[in-house]
Amino acid sequence: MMHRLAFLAGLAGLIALWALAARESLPAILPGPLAVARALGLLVTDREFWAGTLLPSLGRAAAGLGLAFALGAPLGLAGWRWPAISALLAPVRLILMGIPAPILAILCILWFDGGDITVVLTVAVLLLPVFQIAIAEGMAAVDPQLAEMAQVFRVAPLRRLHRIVLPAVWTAFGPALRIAAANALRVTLLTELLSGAEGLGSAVQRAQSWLQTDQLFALVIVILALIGLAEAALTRLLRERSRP
Amino acid sequence: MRALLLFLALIPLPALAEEILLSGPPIWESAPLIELVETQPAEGVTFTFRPWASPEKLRKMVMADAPLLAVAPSPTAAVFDANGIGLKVISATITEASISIVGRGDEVASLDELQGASLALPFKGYLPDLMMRRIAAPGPESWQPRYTGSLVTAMQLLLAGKVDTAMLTEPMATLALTQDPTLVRRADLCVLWREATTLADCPPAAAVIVNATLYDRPEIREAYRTAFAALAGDPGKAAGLLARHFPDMGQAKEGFVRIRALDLPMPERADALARFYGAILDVEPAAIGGKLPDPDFYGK
Amino acid sequence: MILFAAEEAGLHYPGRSDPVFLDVSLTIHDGESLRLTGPSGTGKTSLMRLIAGLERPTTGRIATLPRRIGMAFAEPRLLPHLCVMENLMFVAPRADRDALAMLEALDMADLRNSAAGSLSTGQAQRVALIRALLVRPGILLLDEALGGLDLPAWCAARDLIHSRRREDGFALVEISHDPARLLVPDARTVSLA
Repeated sequence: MMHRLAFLAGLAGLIALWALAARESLPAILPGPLAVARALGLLVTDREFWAGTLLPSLGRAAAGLGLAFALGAPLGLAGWRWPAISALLAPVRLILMGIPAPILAILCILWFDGGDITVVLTVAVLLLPVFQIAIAEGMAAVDPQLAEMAQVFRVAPLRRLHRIVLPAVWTAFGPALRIAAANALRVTLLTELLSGAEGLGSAVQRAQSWLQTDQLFALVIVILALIGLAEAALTRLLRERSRP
Repeated sequence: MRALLLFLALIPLPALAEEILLSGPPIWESAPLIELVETQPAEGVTFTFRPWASPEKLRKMVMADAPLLAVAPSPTAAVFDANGIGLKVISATITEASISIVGRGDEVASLDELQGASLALPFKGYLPDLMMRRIAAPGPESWQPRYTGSLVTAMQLLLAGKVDTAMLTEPMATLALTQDPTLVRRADLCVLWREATTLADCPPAAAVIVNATLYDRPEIREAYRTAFAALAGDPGKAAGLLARHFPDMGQAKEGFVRIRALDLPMPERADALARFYGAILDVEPAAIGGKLPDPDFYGK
Repeated sequence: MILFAAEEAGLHYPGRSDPVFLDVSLTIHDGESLRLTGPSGTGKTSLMRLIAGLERPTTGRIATLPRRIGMAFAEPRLLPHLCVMENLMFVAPRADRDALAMLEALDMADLRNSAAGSLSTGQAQRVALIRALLVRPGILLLDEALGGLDLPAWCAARDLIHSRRREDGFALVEISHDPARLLVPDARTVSLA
């Protein structure tokens, strides 16, 4: 209770400072909290924003995340089972993990169509190594003693997967997923900014160049909220999973 | 020692020259500014040129106390004005034949003849997109936008065969044509624009703006016009000037020679610029700040 | 009926200089009682793992392997995040009444919803024993599985094993270091050296 009050007081103080600072400058440079709230209201009640901007971006981020998992998980499994495969993939993985996201985005824009495919592929390629490593680490974390016990008692494969393999994989995969989900959104925005594909990224760009700073702030709030929501949901999932 | 200092202090200093900052992006319209730097025609004034890389950087220069004369996309000038950032337009520039629709196929007289071809152009809501949308709404019957991050990307997509057509400015259009002989100039945007808007002028896409420190300086305007006239008579010369600040523009000469550049002095030709804003207002009010600029903006 | 038969089986772990054991021939019949003895490091546990099918001989052959095995390892090997009942259901999902009855027999019914990770070693060992009995094994393998129990608890465990054995008639193979605590004192002894 005390903590919550202190948090609210801090927030109120921040908004008051913001309002004061906004009175001293042009709305185009620093819009006040009310103007931003109004812009946010307009934004979230605008069908076109949901259909034409937010959902395409979220869809791309989710598709990229899904593709990264679909490719990274089998590779991680294969690398765990046959270490030679892991060694074979290591150079590609090192390149992918070392390459800065904007450069990869630019290359993907050049090689692919510049629209959905580019964004999805950029996200997927950047996150693939994350999943590959997480799955391999998770599989290595399976307790061999418990696996043997299940083998002796001839426990059904599905139950073994559910009770022994998945909890172990989750210890490495859960945190990786949390990082990957937030990064999927960040990379989506970046690629949209660079490629011109319609979505949150280009909406940010447009709001900036048209000096619709209130809308820009509103967009930033939406983006922060999305990343926060994704992180909170996954944190909760993680906590539930690891609860005894 | 003390005597020497005293002596130095007594020497009358020469009056410090006023420094005026010039700024623009790597486009033909910036070349007259660099010509000013080269010739330094105004007495007691030193012109220096520093490019702006983003509208945000330009905004900061406009709002600074230092005298500034800059080339900006005309919509950006209007957006600044609508948001209370003090500036005036002293000229607008039309560069006829500088924007082409390049692609594979025949020449077209209207966008309907593209029959739904995909057309690469930079960001939605930027000037090329706004002009295209004013000429004809996109759709399967006319043209379908493929937004890219930059003009260069648009050209690359065209060369890679990933799009049917691209909207390219000079020197990119000429460059693309020399790279791939199967490409042709299918239309001049200026011709399409006149046809669709029934306006007499091609789009004055660039505005020459000054901040408050330079509102009443006829000699600066005069110097700009002289520099502009010199380049308009020999448009290819712009390539060499731009190359001093944008090395890539060294090869732009071939593309620039076909440009016909017109200066619209303000406030005399304010009507032409205002009509252009009117046309943009029809398709995307936010792109010019939601309203037409006041007469004050043109220095009336 | 023969449950397990090894013919001149030898086991040599890769990377070790010496084999664990060589030329072990062993037959285990239905309902038989067996004790594996020998100094430590002579491969008692390895032989038990061979019987359980967890190891394959590197020489010789295994002619028969037991079908339904109940095994309690030296470590309890419970799933730490699951409660006691969930651990028991893990190997025998439909035997909940049987599980509860055995927990009551060992005076542990109160612990049925406790997390396995929170149990003491002795409690965990008893749960592991119940798990091994719950599958109604044809052979019960106990690898020092009751070492952590105090005497009353050990006696209760022994009684439970015997009463289940009267019902199910399983063979019993035991490794125990304590000659005072043998489940079947007159069991056949297999000595490894």
